[in-house]
Amino acid sequence: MRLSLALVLTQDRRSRVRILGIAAGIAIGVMLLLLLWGGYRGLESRSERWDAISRIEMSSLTGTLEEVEPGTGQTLVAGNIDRHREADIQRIDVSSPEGAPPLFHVPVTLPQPGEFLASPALAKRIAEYSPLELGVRFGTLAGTLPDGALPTPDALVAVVAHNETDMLMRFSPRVLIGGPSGEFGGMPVYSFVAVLGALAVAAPVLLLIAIVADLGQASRRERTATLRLLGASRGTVAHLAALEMIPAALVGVLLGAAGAWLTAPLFSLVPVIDGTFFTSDIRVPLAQQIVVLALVAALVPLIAALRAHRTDRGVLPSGAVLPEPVPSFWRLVPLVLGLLGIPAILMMNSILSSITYWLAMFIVLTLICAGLIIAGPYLTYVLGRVLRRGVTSAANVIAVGRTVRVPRATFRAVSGLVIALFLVSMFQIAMTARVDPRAEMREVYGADSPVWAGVVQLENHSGDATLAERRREVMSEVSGVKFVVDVYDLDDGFGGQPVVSAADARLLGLNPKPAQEFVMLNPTITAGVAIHAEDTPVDPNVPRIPRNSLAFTDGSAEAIERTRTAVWALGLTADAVPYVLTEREYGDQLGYFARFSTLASIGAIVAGGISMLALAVATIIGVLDRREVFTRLRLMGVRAGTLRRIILAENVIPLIAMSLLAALVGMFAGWAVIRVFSGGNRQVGLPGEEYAITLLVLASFAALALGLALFSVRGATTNARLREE
Amino acid sequence: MSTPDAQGTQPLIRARDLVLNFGQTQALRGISLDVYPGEVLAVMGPSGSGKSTLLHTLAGVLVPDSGTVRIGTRVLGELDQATRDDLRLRECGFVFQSGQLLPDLGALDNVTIPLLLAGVRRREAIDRGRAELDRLGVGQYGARYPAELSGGQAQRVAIARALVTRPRVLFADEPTGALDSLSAETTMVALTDLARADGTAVVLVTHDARTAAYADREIIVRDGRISAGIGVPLVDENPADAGTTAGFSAHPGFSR
Repeated sequence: MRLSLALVLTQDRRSRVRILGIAAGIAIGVMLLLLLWGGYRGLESRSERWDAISRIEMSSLTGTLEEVEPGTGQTLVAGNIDRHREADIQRIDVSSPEGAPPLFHVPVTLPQPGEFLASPALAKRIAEYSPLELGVRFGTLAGTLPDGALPTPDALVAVVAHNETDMLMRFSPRVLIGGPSGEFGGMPVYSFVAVLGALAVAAPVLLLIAIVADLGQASRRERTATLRLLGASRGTVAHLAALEMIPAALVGVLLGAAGAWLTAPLFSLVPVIDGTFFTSDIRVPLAQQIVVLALVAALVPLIAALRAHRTDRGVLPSGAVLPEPVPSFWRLVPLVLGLLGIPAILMMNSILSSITYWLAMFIVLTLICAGLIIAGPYLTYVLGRVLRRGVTSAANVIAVGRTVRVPRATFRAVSGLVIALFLVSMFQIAMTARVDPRAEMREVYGADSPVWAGVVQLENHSGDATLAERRREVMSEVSGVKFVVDVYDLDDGFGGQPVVSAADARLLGLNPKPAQEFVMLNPTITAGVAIHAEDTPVDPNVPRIPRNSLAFTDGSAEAIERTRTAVWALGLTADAVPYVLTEREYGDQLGYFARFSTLASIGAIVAGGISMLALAVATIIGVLDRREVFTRLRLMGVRAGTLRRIILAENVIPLIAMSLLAALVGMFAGWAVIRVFSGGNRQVGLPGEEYAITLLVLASFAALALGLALFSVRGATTNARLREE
Repeated sequence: MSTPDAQGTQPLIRARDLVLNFGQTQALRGISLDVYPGEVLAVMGPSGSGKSTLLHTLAGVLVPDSGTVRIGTRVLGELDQATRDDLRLRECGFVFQSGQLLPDLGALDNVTIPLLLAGVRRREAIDRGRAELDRLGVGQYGARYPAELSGGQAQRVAIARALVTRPRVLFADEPTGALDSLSAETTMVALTDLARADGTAVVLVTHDARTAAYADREIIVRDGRISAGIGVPLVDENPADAGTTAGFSAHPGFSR
């Protein structure tokens, strides 16, 4: 112990610089780890707050309309998803005699009836548009909602206060039962995506920390050999390695924690899934930070000790390279099991419960991810053997020779990028399942009339004729609305067939006979396309139930939003929300497929960036390990450029081969994920230009990493170095 | 102009007044010498005397602060780095004490590397490498990695690698330093015999008198100067070229 301590304390300046470098690497890893964990926690908090809002619409957490007893002090709520220019607005209409209903996890005091509270993002949006388009939709702005009530900083939420009478008259409210549960009840896709995203980034982060810890081991090999020669045991050497790493680990974790704290506001701006983060959400609480930091601080010296113990060469000189054991064929097993797991899960679709299904998918993807890492050295070795016969240049002969002799070290240098590529390929393929709503509409209905895209529809579930009349009156007055059509159902016992008045039919461009009072249309009137009059005559004596009010606007966003605002502001929404056709049919159906897009980009950039550092560090270690060999080659007359080509080839060969495999496996996994998400209903396509751009970015990262490594190791190949050797 | 030796041969290496300082340390202090084709010159001296620095300077790895080194007709100081690298690759061979073989390559691949670097096709390089290993008696070890060879076998593979390009000069830095006496003897016999057969000049740095005994002549370097020479003149007697010289006498072990 005293020997180790003495050796650690008496290190020279060069060693201290090296330790600082290790500390910097650990700091980056810890910073990203904390931000990553913070991001995961942020998604969890976000999901809880979404639950608080969405429960207002759920019958299990709210009472029914029949349970409403006016005048008894109940809190009445109505939750709806309103829209403004293709953005969802969570609208909560509420009346509460107490004034402070337990709507959210944090206390929110209701304003007076006729006023509303808006999320900051909604308040900003209201300020940006004309009041007739958005602002008056909710009443008078009385204040903003606190962060604790909002899922994300970008969320558009309005809490509109009413008195009880108004609430009962204008909406179909429910009775609010209890406060938010606080339980994590998000959709499986939410946690699945969060965990997978975390895994995508955590793998390269941990790899970086492990590789950086290894940097010390490579540099002190000579001293280790001397100590072993002097009689130091393997335990002593391992102990020394651990002890030496403690200051670097401590400095690294502290710097990392500070870095995470300082950069949290910046990283909180990154949109993940459906919005950005609150800075407070992605800052890990101090107690949890201490646990993470303590674990990393303990882990780094432990890795160093284990590596020192495992790679102990006894008294062999620093330049002596011991070959690695030949990687076994069995290394392929986890990857093969993972790949076989995908069809197995798909086949068991009908047997497994939803949660088991997701869990099994997650396990299989983790198995594939780990399988790639485990199989990497074996596949690198096999590739090296295959290539060895074909290579012709000296640089490639040397590079392939090393690939065969030390496949683990060779693969480790590129493993981070390989994993990043696997995950990106998976997400990018999954993204191709997204369908353009208008394209879908064209496919289903065979037409896509721009007129119908500007039609605001308002359903009338109660069949209230007075309401329909008022709606028509109000909407007709809105600037930009060309005409309004009322659609009825015939109450003839058969139902379903839409009917419009002869006057409305003329507005729709049809030509009813003069004697006709009403015209029967084909059912696609509410689908919005290709309407025509049916030949069946309509008996005017049969009662008609108002079902839809259709406001035909000039198609501009302003006119559509003004129409919506008018019906909301004048209390004509009742049990229905005004919508535009495409919003209703295709709005939320594919929402979560789109969420892959952002996560894929974030995952690629973060994982690729970290992997770049890992690749650079691993390459530098590889060169330092063979400094003597390179020096001899230089002495023989090998140009520095040739040495650089050797280093490049050593990285590029496994990178290309493993990347190809990782991309193919990733695409397969992406296809499988979409089959799971869509219940087998949706297909994937070929990845688009975004994938090509991502590949280009990853290739640039790899090039940058190698450039960085070559630049930093130029000292090992100079003439001055020869003299030193 | 250089002066031919007694047989009328021009010197292959011609060094004059070499001075090289590393900071305050004077590594070479005005050394002059000639090395002839097919000649084996042993450079002896205690540790730190400057003999390895002299070898590196003669090979063009280090550039002297003053003085000149000429290999054949080319003055190294007038060549840029890339040309000097190329000259070493094509016209020089190197043998070191240890660690000189690429550990990740088999013996045959190690020998083919200089040929591949010189632009020889791999098939031909393999054939020539195999023949060279055979010439040194280690042809059966072509598939073995350096770690699987004995010290003497590895050193003979290293000599094969150094000679496979048929260099005009072979620089050997303590080639027997890590070998037992039997291996050292076979290694030196192989090295000197083949070099003489190929007409290759050998500059042999050693502190071992038994190794030096295989040389045609010896010089002893102390404090960056040649303190003694045994064998033949270090430089021709032309006063214009005069540098540090030493007396000479016939070495008992050799006659040229």
